[in-house]
This record gives sequence, C-alpha cells and structure tokens, in this order.
Amino acid sequence: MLRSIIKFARIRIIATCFALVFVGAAAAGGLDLRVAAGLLMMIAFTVHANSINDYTDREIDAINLQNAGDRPLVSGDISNRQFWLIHAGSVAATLALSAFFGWRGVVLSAIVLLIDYAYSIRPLRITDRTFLSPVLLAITYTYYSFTIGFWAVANSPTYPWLLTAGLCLGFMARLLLKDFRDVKGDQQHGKLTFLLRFGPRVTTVVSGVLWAASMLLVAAATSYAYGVVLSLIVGALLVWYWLYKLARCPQIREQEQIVAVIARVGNGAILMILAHLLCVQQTGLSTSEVQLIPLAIGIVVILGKGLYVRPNA
Amino acid sequence: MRKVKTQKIAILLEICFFAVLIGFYPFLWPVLLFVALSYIPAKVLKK
Repeated sequence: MLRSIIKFARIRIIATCFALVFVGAAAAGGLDLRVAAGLLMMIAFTVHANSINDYTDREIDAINLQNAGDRPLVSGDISNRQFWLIHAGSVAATLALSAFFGWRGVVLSAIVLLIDYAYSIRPLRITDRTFLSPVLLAITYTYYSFTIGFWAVANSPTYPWLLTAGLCLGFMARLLLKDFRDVKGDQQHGKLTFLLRFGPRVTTVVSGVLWAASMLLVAAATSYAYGVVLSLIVGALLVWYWLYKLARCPQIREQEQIVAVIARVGNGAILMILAHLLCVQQTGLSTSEVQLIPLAIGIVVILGKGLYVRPNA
Repeated sequence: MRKVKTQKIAILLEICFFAVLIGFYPFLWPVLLFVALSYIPAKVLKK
C-alpha cells in the first residue's frame, strides 16, 4: 500500500511543488520550520489530486498508459477499499497540516481539495474542458505551493503577485504539452484537450508564447537581475527549439522525450529563481555574487538538462 | 553508447559543480535538495 501511495504522489510533481514551496518561503524572506509542514502538505495534496484523477480516468489510462507502472489502479496493485483509505487519509492529512498556517491555510486547502474533485468528477469535470483545464491546474498547483511556502514565514512582506503570475504562466506552458502522450485514449473517450482541438502546431506556439510571457513577468518580479534574465533567455531559446521539434515530431515516444526535456528546463528555471531569492536575502554577499550565483546555477541546470533528450525519460 | 557516456559525464560534472557550490554557499541547500530529487531515474519511479 505504501508503494501505491508513493505512486499516487508522483515524485516529479512533488519535487516541483517542493521547489515552489521553497521559492515562496524565500520570497517571504527566509526558511521557517513551518516550511517542513508545507512540504508534507504538498505530498498529501498531490496524493489527493492524483488519486481522484486516476480513479475517474482509470478507463482512459488503461488505453494510454497500459504499461505505466505508476498507475496502481491500472496495474491492479490495490483494492478498491485500499484506494479509498489512501484517498481519505490524504484529505485528513492535508487539512490537519493546513492548521499550521492558521485559518487561511485551512480555507485555502479546503478550496484546493474541492477544485481537485471539480477537476476530475462530473458534472463539472474540468479536465475535459479545453481552456479551463490547463489554466486551473496551473493556478492551483503553482499558487497553492508558492503561497503555503510564503505563509510559512512569519511576518512575510507584501504578496509577490507578479512572481506568482509568472510562475503560473510557465506552469501553464508546460501543462499544455502533457496531453501529447494521451492522444489515443483522449480521442476514444471524446476528451477535447487543447492539443486535440487545435493540433500540435497551435499547441506548441501557444506554449511558446506563454513561456515568453512567464519569462517577462519573472524578469520584472526580480527587478531584471541580469543573472536571472540571462538564464531565462537561455531557457527560452532551448524551449522554443524543442517546441519547434515537437510540432514536427510524429512519434509519441519521441514526443514524450521532448516534453520531458522542456519540463526539465522549466524546473531548472524554478531552481535558478530559488537561488536568486536565497542570494538576495543572504547578508554578506557582494552584488556580483548575487548576480553570478543564480546565473551559474541557471546555465548549468538549464543547459545540462535541456540540451539533449534522455532515452529513458 | 557514446551518447550515454556523454550524458553520464554531464551528470557527474553537474554533481561536482553543486558540491563545490554548496561548500562555498551552504545556504543554497534547498537548491541541492531539488537537484538530488531530479536525479531519481524515471524507471525507478515507475517500479
């Protein structure tokens, strides 16, 4: 059962949520012990979101992800009773951990849990909606993770809306690409994703535009620090190159690998922003160190992860 | 084969870079944590 919980948690998604919690905390001025509660909350929240989505999508996943080991309901690793135990446990854990962030934490978590249901369950089933699905998913994951990190720090400053908006747009650009591997099942079940409605070319162009908008907002939110701006430009060039390749790639396996590269570039950009925020608040660093450390991290991570596709991605 | 070897060298260089960086700037540990999570291979996650 523990293995199934880990599978519902999706380590890659949790890693991104963790990074956003840290970014939020760093934007608030430092790391607090409550950040640890925020990280645990992200695990519980991710298990909740993925478990209910896997449950409602189990028939589509049986077509799209026949051999995927990370879908316990498709592989039959858990019983129905075990599934509901895990799901109920994730609700309880998310709400209990939210108490560390006061009433606003509990209210925000309750809203996010309700959004999880609205996303997957009829009659709303937002996952089937072409435009609302990527927008709501991006806002939920990014705003929730970032805000919990921000609230984890006592006496946090004014909420950085510009940075949050930039991160949301970046996440949206990434989420538009997640349906490439699911085309077959989505077609059979009439799930009109952005990709199915407008095709690969339009999808990649919109993703590229969203990436550019995200870059501009993040650059403005970090006062156009040259370390951040240069890293973002390198990342954007790489992303646009891979999007160009993706639009012209007919093989699903190759498409998956390209999408994975773009996701890694996005994660690299989050890391670089985190490094920038940590450097800004650190006393004793010179002005050039504050600029050069994020730049070095950005270049190493973005180029290191974005230059090539991994065969086992 | 050569591609896999190049990738391994790239990962090794990245690890060395972060080891040195954290040595000089320990406050960057959250960055290292995130990098470490990204090294978990996809096939391990799907087992």
